[in-house]
Amino acid sequence: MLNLLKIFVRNRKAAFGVFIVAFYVVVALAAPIVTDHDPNKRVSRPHQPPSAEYVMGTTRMGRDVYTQLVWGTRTSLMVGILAGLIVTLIGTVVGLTAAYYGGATDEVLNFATNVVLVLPQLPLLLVLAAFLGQVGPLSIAIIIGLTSWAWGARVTRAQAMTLKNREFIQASQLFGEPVWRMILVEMLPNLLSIIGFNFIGSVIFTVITQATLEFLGLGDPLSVSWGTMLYNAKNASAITVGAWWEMAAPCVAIVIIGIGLSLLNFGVDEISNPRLRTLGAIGKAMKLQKKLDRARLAEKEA
Amino acid sequence: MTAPLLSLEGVSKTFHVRPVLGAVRRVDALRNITFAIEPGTALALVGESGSGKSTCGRAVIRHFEPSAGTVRFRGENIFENRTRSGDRAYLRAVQMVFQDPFSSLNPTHTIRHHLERPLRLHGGGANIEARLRQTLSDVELDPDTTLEKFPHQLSGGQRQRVSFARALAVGAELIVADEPTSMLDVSIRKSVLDLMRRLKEERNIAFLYITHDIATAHYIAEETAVMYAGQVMERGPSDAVIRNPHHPYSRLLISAVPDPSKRFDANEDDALAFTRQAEAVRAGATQPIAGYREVAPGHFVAYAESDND
Amino acid sequence: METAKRLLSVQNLCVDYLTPTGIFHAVRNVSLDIGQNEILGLAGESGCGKSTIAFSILRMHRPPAFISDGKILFEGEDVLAFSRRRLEAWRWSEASMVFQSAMNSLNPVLTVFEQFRDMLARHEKLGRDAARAKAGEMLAMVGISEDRLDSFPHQLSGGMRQRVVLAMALTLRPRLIVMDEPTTALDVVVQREILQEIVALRKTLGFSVLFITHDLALMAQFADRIAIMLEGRIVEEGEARSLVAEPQHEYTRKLWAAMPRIEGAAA
Repeated sequence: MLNLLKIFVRNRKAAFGVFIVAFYVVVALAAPIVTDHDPNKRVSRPHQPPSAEYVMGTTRMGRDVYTQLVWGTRTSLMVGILAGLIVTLIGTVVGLTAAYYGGATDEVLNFATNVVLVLPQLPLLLVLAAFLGQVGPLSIAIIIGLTSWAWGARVTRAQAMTLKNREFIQASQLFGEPVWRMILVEMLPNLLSIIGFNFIGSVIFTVITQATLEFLGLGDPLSVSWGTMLYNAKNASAITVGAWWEMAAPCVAIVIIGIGLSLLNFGVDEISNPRLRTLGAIGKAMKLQKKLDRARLAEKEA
Repeated sequence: MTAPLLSLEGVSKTFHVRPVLGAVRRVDALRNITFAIEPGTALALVGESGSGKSTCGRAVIRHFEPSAGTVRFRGENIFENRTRSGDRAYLRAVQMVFQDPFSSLNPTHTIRHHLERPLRLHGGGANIEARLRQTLSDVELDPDTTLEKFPHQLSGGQRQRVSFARALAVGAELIVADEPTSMLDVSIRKSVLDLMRRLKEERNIAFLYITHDIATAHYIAEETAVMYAGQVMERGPSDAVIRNPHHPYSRLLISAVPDPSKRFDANEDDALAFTRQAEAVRAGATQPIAGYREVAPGHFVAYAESDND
Repeated sequence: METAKRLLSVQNLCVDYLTPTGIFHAVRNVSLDIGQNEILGLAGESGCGKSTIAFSILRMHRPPAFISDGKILFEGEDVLAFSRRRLEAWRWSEASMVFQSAMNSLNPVLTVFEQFRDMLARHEKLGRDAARAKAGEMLAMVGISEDRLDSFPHQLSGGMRQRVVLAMALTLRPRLIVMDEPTTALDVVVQREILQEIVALRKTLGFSVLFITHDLALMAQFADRIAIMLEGRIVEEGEARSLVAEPQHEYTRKLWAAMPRIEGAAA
């Protein structure tokens, strides 16, 4: 455990990422504590600029942007993580199975993966959402989850295939390990890095996709999330009338969580692959060498 | 005379390589391989890379089925009439130790896990702790310090010993050792070979020892077979094959083994002559073998159609 | 060795590695000399630092390794004090390297000729036809026919690839070639072919070799002098013949004893 923490401390990118993500999670969990009232409550006149009382100003409907943002974080994060979990689960199962069994199973699963990969996702989501009417966040999470697993499956499959050819897998087969144990106990622990990577990448993707769908008006306008905030801001022509804060708040929120999650990914790789754990040694060694080289050159010319 | 533990009779294997573009290529990995191993003895299968020696090993562990010929274990054809219990029994009896000590162990599990699994699968859960410790001591590793370690905390030599322990844990009677020491440091190779010798003599375990280093062959194997391009060129008691090689390829191989007492003081002509000779011998050795001559009891040398004798 | 005869003089070289757990001293205060047209064999097991020295001589070591102290005098000049430009001109034309795995040192998407041309264009600014002629000449020197110029590395056998690498290392007529276990991945017959080739070429072209390997028996056949390394230090050094006949250091004796040998084999 201590080693884990050390990695995050020395790898500044990962540390930053953890900090950002943790901050968002805390805000989401503590929503009732850090806000005083319902996000849909009208608190003031429309389009008030940020002030001491309402730090992020108010929306077209006179609602408090700050409160909406905090509660929106809760919804958006939940959807993002749920969809991310679905994506990772399906992708890992499909990738692992295809890699382990090979042959016909691999062909079939590959075909399925390719189809899902090639599907024009946004149009499909639009059609689905239009068909289903205005869907709540949970439905959006499921829809996104079911249509975005292909890339992760591909990557997991590739990694699992190299694993499968390693001799310890052959040895396990040789002494008769049942297939399910081989996959879950022998192969899976070696794939944690790629799975973690997948998961975090999916969350970024799903958060953005969810926001996009809602921005286009397909979400439930009564729910509060970053996407619906953007939708309302667009409908209110917020930027045109000069109320930039209504648009900016959710935008910045999305951008920063995206950055945080990406930075987190750097750390995941280092944790699961001990060989990548240079902890900045390479950079340090390079600088040291340059310094010594310059000294020698100077000495020679002196 | 006791029946041999393992015998290969005329085993051939052809692989069909299907590149994305172009015609299908036939690769004759094994051509008419015949040899036998008695219980408790070792046979060294010597050859350069691409000679088919590893393919032979894989055929023995039933990685694939031969295109022709039979492989018998205790007289029974291992590819016919396969039953579940028969398969299990074969798994127990025949195990493999691989070349790469780094990838033969799962980096995410302890040594305990690596040995407990085969012990449980093949001997039940009774008395596991004692059996674990015994297996490790059998390969000269200290159970107290080794059991809880991860593979990356052990040296290459120790990892190979764990691989042998794994084969012992299953209860193997024949171990196919595929270049077990070629990726180890020179000073520990001999100790691993010594371990194999001990296991052979004390536990009556037979070995199919696959190697490219003919010098180590006579160290642990009673019999040696020299392979090239999927065929056995010469086969016989190790002493005879190494000290008195008959086939041109065996002679070439043995002459190329570094001998500290013979310095290279080559000039251009010598170098070219050696290269030409090597090419000629290889060309001759690639031709299909017509039969074997027994030049001494148990010592067989291949000859091709074109050889007149 | 008298100063006049020394081609390369490594003096008190220290190479360290920066690891997450501290500094690791891979090469500790190593000094060795290589004379003109001499083959020096550097033997040791994995982790002793011999490859680190090989890379450091051409300053091709990569972080987290760094040269912390010492001098590498090539004909009297300190290589470690070369400017970037001087270093790049010196590399390959005066000292070159042959690596362990030819598959890793040849670019898989370039033909043999293109690999030569790349190098010749950089150092000698030869035109296409002149470069082709030169490449053909070099291949002939190592026993490969000219029509292989248009083959890709994967179409050549392991031994041929290593010969191509050798030809490339010799093209600019360097005075020193550092060979890092060049035949370890090759079969014993091919190994013999290549080493005989090297010895023969040394007679005609004249160059020194720093030959790194773990195979003492091989070095006894091939090297003029041998140095044995253990944990970053040289523990024994001397003429090949005497080191083989009467190894002094315990580790040398241990290495000797560790190799099963064919006694009195017929040839």
